[in-house]
Formats: sequence, structure tokens, C-alpha cells
Amino acid sequence: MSVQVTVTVGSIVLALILGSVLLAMVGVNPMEAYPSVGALMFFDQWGWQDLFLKMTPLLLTGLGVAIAAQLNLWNIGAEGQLYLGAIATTWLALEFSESLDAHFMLPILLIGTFVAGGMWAAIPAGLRSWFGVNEIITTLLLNYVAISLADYLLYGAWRDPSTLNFPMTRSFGESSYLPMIGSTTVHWGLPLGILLAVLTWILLRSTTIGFQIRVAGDNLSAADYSGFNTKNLLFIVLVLSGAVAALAGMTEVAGIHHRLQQNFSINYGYTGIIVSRLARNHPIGVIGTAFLLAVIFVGGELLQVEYQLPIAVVYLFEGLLLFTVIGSELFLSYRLRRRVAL
Amino acid sequence: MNPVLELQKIHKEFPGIVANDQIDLTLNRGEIHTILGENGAGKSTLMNIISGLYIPDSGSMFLEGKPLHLKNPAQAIAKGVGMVHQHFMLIPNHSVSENIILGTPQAFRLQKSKVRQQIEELGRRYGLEFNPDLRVQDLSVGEQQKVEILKVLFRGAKILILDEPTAVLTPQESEALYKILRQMKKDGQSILFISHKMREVIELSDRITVLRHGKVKATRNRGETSPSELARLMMGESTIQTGEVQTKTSKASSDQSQNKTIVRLKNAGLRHELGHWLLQNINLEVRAGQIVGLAGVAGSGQAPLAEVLVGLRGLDTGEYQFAGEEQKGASVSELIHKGVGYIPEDRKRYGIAPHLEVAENFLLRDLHNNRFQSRGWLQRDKVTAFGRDRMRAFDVRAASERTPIGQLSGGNMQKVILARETSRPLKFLLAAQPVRGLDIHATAFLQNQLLQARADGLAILLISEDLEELLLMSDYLYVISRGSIVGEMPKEEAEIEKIGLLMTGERA
Repeated sequence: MSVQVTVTVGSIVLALILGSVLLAMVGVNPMEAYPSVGALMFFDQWGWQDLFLKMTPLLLTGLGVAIAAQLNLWNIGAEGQLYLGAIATTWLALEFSESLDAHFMLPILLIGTFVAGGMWAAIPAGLRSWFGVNEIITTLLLNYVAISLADYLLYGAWRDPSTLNFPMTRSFGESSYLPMIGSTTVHWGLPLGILLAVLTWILLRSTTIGFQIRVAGDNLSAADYSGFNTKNLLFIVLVLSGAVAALAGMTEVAGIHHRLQQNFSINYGYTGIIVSRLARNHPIGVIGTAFLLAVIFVGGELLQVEYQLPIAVVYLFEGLLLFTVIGSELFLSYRLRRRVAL
Repeated sequence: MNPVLELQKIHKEFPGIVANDQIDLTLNRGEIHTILGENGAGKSTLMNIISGLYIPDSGSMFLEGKPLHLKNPAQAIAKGVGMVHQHFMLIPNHSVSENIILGTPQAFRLQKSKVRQQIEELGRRYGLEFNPDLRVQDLSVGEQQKVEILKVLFRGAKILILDEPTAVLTPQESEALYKILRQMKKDGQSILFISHKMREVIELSDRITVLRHGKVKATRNRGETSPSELARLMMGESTIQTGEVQTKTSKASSDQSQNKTIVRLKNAGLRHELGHWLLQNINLEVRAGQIVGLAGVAGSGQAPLAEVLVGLRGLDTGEYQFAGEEQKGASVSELIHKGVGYIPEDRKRYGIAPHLEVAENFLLRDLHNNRFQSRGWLQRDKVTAFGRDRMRAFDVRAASERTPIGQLSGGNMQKVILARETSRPLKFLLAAQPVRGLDIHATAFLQNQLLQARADGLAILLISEDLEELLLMSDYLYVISRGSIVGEMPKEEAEIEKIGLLMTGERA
């Protein structure tokens, strides 16, 4: 465990060093840029609030992906699940927020979005469990369906005529706004994500169903042999994965935009795969890596603003990080194999 | 004496273990030299050094007097060192001749007729005759091994290394192999034969070198040794008495025919998804307090039969009765609940979750037992305590009960599985190859545990490819071949010859 953390931290440092070379190549002095961006990010009021706001959807999608990964399932569909969650939230908010107050509205949004995301993920989950259809393909393709569905609604039934034909809905009623923490602009989506991560960890460690998931993830044949219903396990885990990722859609539209609009997600769902992978799919580790990716997102925004660098630089940073961390993992498993060769 | 291969002070260490400790060995022209040793004695490491897979830390090798430095297996093959692996390295849907020329230098356009001629010539000389156009997948295991040998000879091997070649053969096939090896010896080939079966070794070898804990314990010439001396050399002075298992066997309760039938298969049949039959007309009975042996060559239907008995598959025809009740469509967990224990043949694939703790592995197949959980919540301290207790009772050697089980040796893993399966009320235990790959201490321990379980009234079905083990342990024997039971007999009437013939599918 500690070896893994050391290696991960080491590979992040390596990515930062490689990133500084990258910055130098585009004419920015990294010795100047890193500290100034760091100061803005961590000590500026706007900076750290933005950090936590970006971290929230990354945490939820990353956790969703990590849940599926417990059974070696690849949920590539977090982006679509996020969109579907946002659609579900929007429908509930548009429909009920005028007539219900926040005490009723917020639990309805939470549970409704969770259920909707789970039902959405039940499509690939069922196909995988009972027909053996590869979930990578189905979850990936459903992303386009969900995004197109959002577009269809935004250009059609849900378009707000008062927005001069911009594809967005009207604003939700205030009872559907996620409350802020204290006097900050950070909403309660972040504590929700952390709570879910901890609950997932407890589920896996301390319950019999979690034990079955751990066995099946480690050795599916042994789970069959132990009499566990592995088809049901696959189904449940993938549904849960989609349900959690869908909550990211809720926190975005109910926490920040207060309406559904086009392109509200800056690839949070796809980045969730990286978040999970960097944490080696550990539900608690996801909290740390979601923060790390948020640093890269916000750091990239700041580099854009302060140094007029293109968005591509942010993507390059992400790529470097993934490269070094996954590269280091190969290194880890190589060492492991040598011990086994005894 | 004309040494072909000489090893001097070969030394190889892996982290934490000395696999080969200053090994000296000579192989003469035209001799069969056996390397005898328990699992883990260092035989495989040594052979991997000779065949270029491992590079020794120190020491030197000489081939026909010239220093031999191997960096990879390709070099070893080029120098004339040929290895016949225990697990065949053949491509099933290619023909015999294609498999044989694989990896050898050939003209761009294959000259098949020339190759065929060479193969036929080699085959005639050693009694390894084949139709070179047959596909390997259509050959029996024994024939596939002959293809492997031909492959090595075709490459012009001067030294032939055979790694436990008889492990997968019937007694008759083994005899045929010995004949081939003797012929090759006469022809001047030098053969290194790796084994842990003492009987075959004494008959076949010109010299026997015994390895123990990575060291050469002794080298003996033909006729200068005895099985008991070899056993002592292999196992050390503290060798457990082979009589120990035997005496218990003979004390079997005399009249088992009165005991209750626990498992009964009636005309059982099972189809493959593609339609052909995996099992057909299986009639089999296991009674309480009885060990029933199932003999058969690997792949004769033992695996599907085991899957049926533990509930991983349902029968297509016939009946499966457990404790008098029909079990149509019973799931694994239902059968576990009714008292079925299972020691799977492939313990790493089915028996354990390798990255979970040893203690946690006791929960497999027993998860809903109240000693581990309460209303779906695991009681971690109880899990740990139970694991610790069972590990002590079964002498499982591991750093702690929290060690990932994948780090344990095969024998300790198997003890955990046995401990787990026998730690809840059982009526029936299916033990598939329970001692395969275990050293003699672990083997004796496991066998004694099985005999103890029988004495306590458990019905046991023992699946094994080792006839001696079956004859030692079983009260009643069935022989399976090509998915059907081809013979059955009480232990008193069982003879190795007769069973061996049945195993090949011929009626005795």
C-alpha cells in the first residue's frame, strides 16, 4: 500500500517535471509559472473554491468508474451517465421546484437522479450479465445517446424562449438549488461525494455483498465456485456505478448552473476514468486523485488566463500524468512478478 | 566415459532462496541420467539453466568439452540442447509436420515433401511413426508428446531433456515412451530425465542424481541403489514412514455396503454447448464413510463430472441424487448448504482469491455462516480468529493470517482449501487431484486428513490421475474414459495393469 502511494506521488512529481519542460518549450518559465499558479489556486478565494467545484463532478464520476472496476468492468459511460443525471435532475426541477420547497425537493433530486442513472446503466449491465455483451462498447455508445438526448430536449421541448434561442432551459426554482457550504460558493455536492466514497469503502470491506464483490473481482471463477451469483453481482455493480456517476450531473446543474445547457460538462465523465485509474480504483483514493485532476483543470485555466496558453496544454498535462502513473504501475507489477517467480 | 555435458558449480539464487547451490553434474554420451527430487528441490531451475531460460549466477557449463554460455533458449537449441516441456508447446490446429518445423530455419518456400521425408526417417529410427499431415489436436496426449520429442530430434538435439514426461501418460503409454528412450540411448543420444517417481526412474536410468534443497545429495549408478535409499536422499532423514498412510487404509470399516448412499448419478449425461457429449451414461455411487476413486487419463471427463457434482452445471439427461433427493438444477450455493465440499483440481483458478488474506479465503463457500457475519456485516475479528485457529490446526505456514493467500506455496494453499471445506458440516467431499504438486509431507498430511474424514463418516470422491494414490486411498474404484464410466471394481480386485488398459478406453 505505502509502496503504491510512494510510486504514485513519485510519478506525479515526474509529470510536473516533464510538464515544466513543456512549459519552457512554449516560452513560459516554469519556475515562475508553477509558484504563481499555485498561489492563485490555493490562496486566492476564487481559486480554491473553483478547485472544489471542479473536484466534485470528478469525484463522483471517478467513484462511479471505480465501483465498476471492482469487478474488472470498464464503465466508459460516466459522461453519458452524467448527462442523463443532469436530464433527470432538470426534469424533476422544472416539474416540481415551483410547488415544493427545498426540504422535499433536494431528496427528490438526489434519489430521482440516482435511480435514473441506475436505470440507464441497467441497459449495459443487463446486456453484460445475461448476454455477455462487452460493457466497454455499450457504455461508450450510450454516451452519444445521452448527449444527443440532452441536445434534443434543449433544442426542442425544454428550450427557454426567453434566452434568445440559446440551447438552454429556463432557470430552476430556488428550491432546487444545492445549498452552499457556509459563505463559500462551494455547494454540498462535494461532501456528498466524499460520503459516498466512504460508504463504498465500508460496503466493500465490511459487508458480505462487498466481500462477494472483492472475491469476484479478484478471481471470478473462484466466486462461481463459492456459489456467489456472479451474474447478479455484475449487474448490481454496474448499475451502482452508473447511479453514482449520474449524481455528477445533478451536482453540476443543481449546484452551479441551475439550468441545463449545452456542453456543461468539460469531459468530467471521461476524466473520471483517469481519476479512478490513478487511484488504482480505490474508492478512498479517488478523493485524492479527483482533487489532483481538479488542480490540473484549474491550473490549466489559470495558465490560459495568465499566460495565454491554449487549452491543448491542459490536455497535454493530463496525458503526461496518465502516462507517468500508468507507466509506474507497469514498474510495480514487474517487481511483483519477480517475487512470484520464486 | 564420454561426457557430453558438464556442469561445474552452477549456482542460482532468487530473492530469498538458493534454487541451485553449487551443482556439479555430468551427462555422458548414450546415457539416461535422471534428476530426482521433490517439488522445489531445484530440478526445474537447473533444467531451465541448461536450456537457456535462466542464466546462472556463477558456475560454468561445458558442451563436448567446450565452454557453453547460453543467453536464451534459441542459443541452446542451436547448440543441440532440446527440451521437452511438461506442458506441450504445440499448436493444436496445425499439422504434425508444421509443428515440427516451427522455428527451424527453412527456405522461404516450404519444401514439404523433403520435410516429410526427414520426419518419416527420424520416426522410423525411434519408433515415432506418424502421419505428418495429421493435426495435433486430433492426437492423444501420448502421441502429442511423441511429436514434441520428434520436434526436438528434428532440430538435431544432442541432449534431450524431458521434464516429468510420464505425468500425463497412462502406464502403457509410459512403457512405450521408455522403449523409445532406450532406442535413442542405443543410438548415442544423451537424455536428462526429470522425475519424482522412483519406480520408473530405477528401471530406466543409467545414473540417478538426487537433488534436495538445491544441492546434489548423491549420484548413483544403475543397480547400486534401492527405492528406500533414494527416498531417504530425496526427503532427508526425517522421512515420514510410508507405512503410516497404509495402516490406516487397511482399517477401513469393513462393511460399507450397508452405509447410506450420499451421492448417486443415474444415467447422467452432459452435452457441450456445441452439441457433443461430455459425459454419457454415468452411473456412480458414493456412500458415507467411503472413499471412491475415479481413475482416468487427464481430460477424460473428470472436470465436467466434478462441475455437475458441485452444481456448476446441470445435467442434460439422467439424475443426480444427493442424500436421496433429486438435485435437478440445484445451484452451487444450495449444494454447499446441503453439505458438499469441493477441493478443485485447479486450486489457483477455482479454490482461492489470491489477493485476499488467508483468513478471508476461509469465507469462500462458507460466507453466510454466522460465525463470520451477522445480518450481512462481516465480523472481521471473528474472521481473523477463525483463520488463525484453522491455520494452526492444519499447520499452514504463512507469515500471518492476513497474508495474501497467493503468496503461499501450493501445499499451504491446499491445506487452507482442505481446512475450509472440512470446517463446516459436510456429507460429501469431492477431492480432485488433492495432492498434485505437493511435497511428500504435505501429501501425507492431506491423505491422512482425508482418511480421518472418511473414518468420521464422510463420503469422498477422489479424482486422480495417479493410480498408486488411488489404490492406496480408495475403497472402490471407477474408471472413466471419454466421458463414460468404463469399469468399476472394489479395491481388492483392482490392478494397475487392468485399470491402465481401461483408462485408454480398451475393455480389459
